[in-house]
Amino acid sequence: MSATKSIEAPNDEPATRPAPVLEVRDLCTEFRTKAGVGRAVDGVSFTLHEGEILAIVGESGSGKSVTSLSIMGLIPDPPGRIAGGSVTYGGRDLTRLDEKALQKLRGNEIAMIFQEPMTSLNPVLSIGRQMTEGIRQHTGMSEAEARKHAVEMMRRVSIPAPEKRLGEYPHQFSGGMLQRIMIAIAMSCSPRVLIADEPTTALDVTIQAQILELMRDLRATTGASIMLITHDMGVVAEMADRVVVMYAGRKVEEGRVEDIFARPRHPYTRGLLAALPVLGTAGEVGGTQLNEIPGVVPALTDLPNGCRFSDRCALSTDKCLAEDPPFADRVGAHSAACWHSDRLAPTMEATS
Amino acid sequence: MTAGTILSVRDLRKSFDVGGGLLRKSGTLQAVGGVSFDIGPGETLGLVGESGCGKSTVGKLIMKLHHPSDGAIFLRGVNIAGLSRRAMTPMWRKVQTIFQDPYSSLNPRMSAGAIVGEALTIHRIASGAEKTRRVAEIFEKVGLRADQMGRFPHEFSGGQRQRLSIARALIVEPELIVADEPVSALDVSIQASVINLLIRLQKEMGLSMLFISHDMSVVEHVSHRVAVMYLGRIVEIGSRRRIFGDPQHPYTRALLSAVPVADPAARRRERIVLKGDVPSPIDPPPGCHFQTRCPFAQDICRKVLPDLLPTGGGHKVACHVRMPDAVA
Repeated sequence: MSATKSIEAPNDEPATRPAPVLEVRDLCTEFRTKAGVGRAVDGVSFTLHEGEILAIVGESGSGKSVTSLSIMGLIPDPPGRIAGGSVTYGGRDLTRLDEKALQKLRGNEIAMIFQEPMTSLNPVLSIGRQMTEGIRQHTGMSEAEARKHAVEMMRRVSIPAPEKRLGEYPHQFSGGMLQRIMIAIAMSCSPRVLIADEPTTALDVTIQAQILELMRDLRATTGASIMLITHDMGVVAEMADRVVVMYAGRKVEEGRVEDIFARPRHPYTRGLLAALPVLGTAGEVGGTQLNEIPGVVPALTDLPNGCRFSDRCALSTDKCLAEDPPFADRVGAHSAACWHSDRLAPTMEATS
Repeated sequence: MTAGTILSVRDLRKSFDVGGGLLRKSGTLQAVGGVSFDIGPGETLGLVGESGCGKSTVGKLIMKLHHPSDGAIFLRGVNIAGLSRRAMTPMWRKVQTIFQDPYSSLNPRMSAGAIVGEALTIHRIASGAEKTRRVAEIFEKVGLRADQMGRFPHEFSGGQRQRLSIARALIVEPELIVADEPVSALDVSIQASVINLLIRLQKEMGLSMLFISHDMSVVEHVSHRVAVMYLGRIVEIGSRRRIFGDPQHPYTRALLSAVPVADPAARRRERIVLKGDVPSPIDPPPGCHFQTRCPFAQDICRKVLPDLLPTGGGHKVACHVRMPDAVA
């Protein structure tokens, strides 16, 4: 791929790009803390397209979860607030909608699942009640119709004996089963967008495999767009069509999943990939060292001048310490916010 | 048990009485149901499995945080299974532990230097200037600075706190470290540096290590040998090369194939997606515990619990239907 900062899409992009469903532009979300105001999300932009799985990946404090909560209008105010930018869905800016209008969208056109299914469900209401409530609210179905629909949804997420389990309570389900229920609830009103925030992080790896497969199936059958928020590069590689990498509240890299993994253009992305022990590649114990990224993520109330990654970056120069690199946005292509993208070796695989 | 074995666990068992509270049926939960393994000098044994498989209970039994229901734990030939906590005290010089959560395992009111140096006083190894010298030395060794000794745990980052836990464990120069999910709470970039540190120190100090983790990739990276647990039992144990290169138990294969690989080109690989959940350890299925989810289960698997049998080269597997060389 050429390294010119052209604004044209490169030729290897498909001619007909799927239509944008959700557009986030210059999103800024702030939190007031004792140490001052911290911008958890600072000028983040990306587009979720029809039927695509877009992964937002980053470590703790990168702002990935705050981004998803901002989109859903779920930032607690105070201490937080959306300080700028827009989230466009269906011609409307979600950041300007009132709570009533947002409630109509949430769970209906835009659904969300969280990391901890146990804390997202009400422990004293039956699963059936919690499933039918949302369905009735958004579709106007009768109780009997909603129950039938709920059973159908449970069947789709492979819950055995759904009629019987409808009367049971959250504590009677395993973690994997509860996450299936959450997905069934989320998908029950056929949303156009599913926002999944670390949906498998609390689950065992064999259960995670089931849930990821289920999400892929649902995308294939319903055509929903999925925004997948995760810290796990393995999950990203398995699921995503495109990837946004976040660091300290900023988008630092964006591109197709193949490009991100084979030719990362930001030293942070590259560092993350090299820090991972990869199954099946270990030599003798201690023979190969994992890549270490020195230092820690900067506090949002005390950010360095220039590039936010500069104090941990091996490629850092005086320019990085002085000037914040802009996100070199090449429309629809693979881009990063780094002065030295072109100095990064093309692939990590070459070293292993 | 061969001469020079540091840790030898024989038919270790632990069951818990599960109270019959509101909405729950009472019963006996067999967390560990007859586990045996050895760890040699300078060797790391990785103990892997999913939540509820009993791997952490095995670690706690060795650390005497739980009292075993049955079985033996030989530490340098001494059976510590029946020892009281008081009788165990001198043994803590030989075996030390590192926990998952560096936040809750460090006393917030003690300085970092005092936390790390405490064991030197308890075991009457050193005091005064000699103690300070040793603490400073171990600080440098784990990648902290001696001038950080006066700081308190909250002044350290997550990765640094785990370095503190490592320093605290290593200062008494133990022979065995039980590390229970030591890097699971850390971000990837920090995790890498703690893993590198553990491997380096282990080599330098000739430590033996029981490395308990749910993360197959991490276990492969640090372990010489690996034991896979399922519902309280070891289903397969062997060299790292064997477990990751040619696993014989269907559960090991499923576990490995379920790990998401950080390479989009690996999406088309063969995968075994297991159906259903892990059965309750209060009411395990008859026969092989894995039979309810095993794609290869036969009649015998539903009736007879398979023994962990040697297949050669120190490798053992508990399966009636030994896997062919390649996944069918």
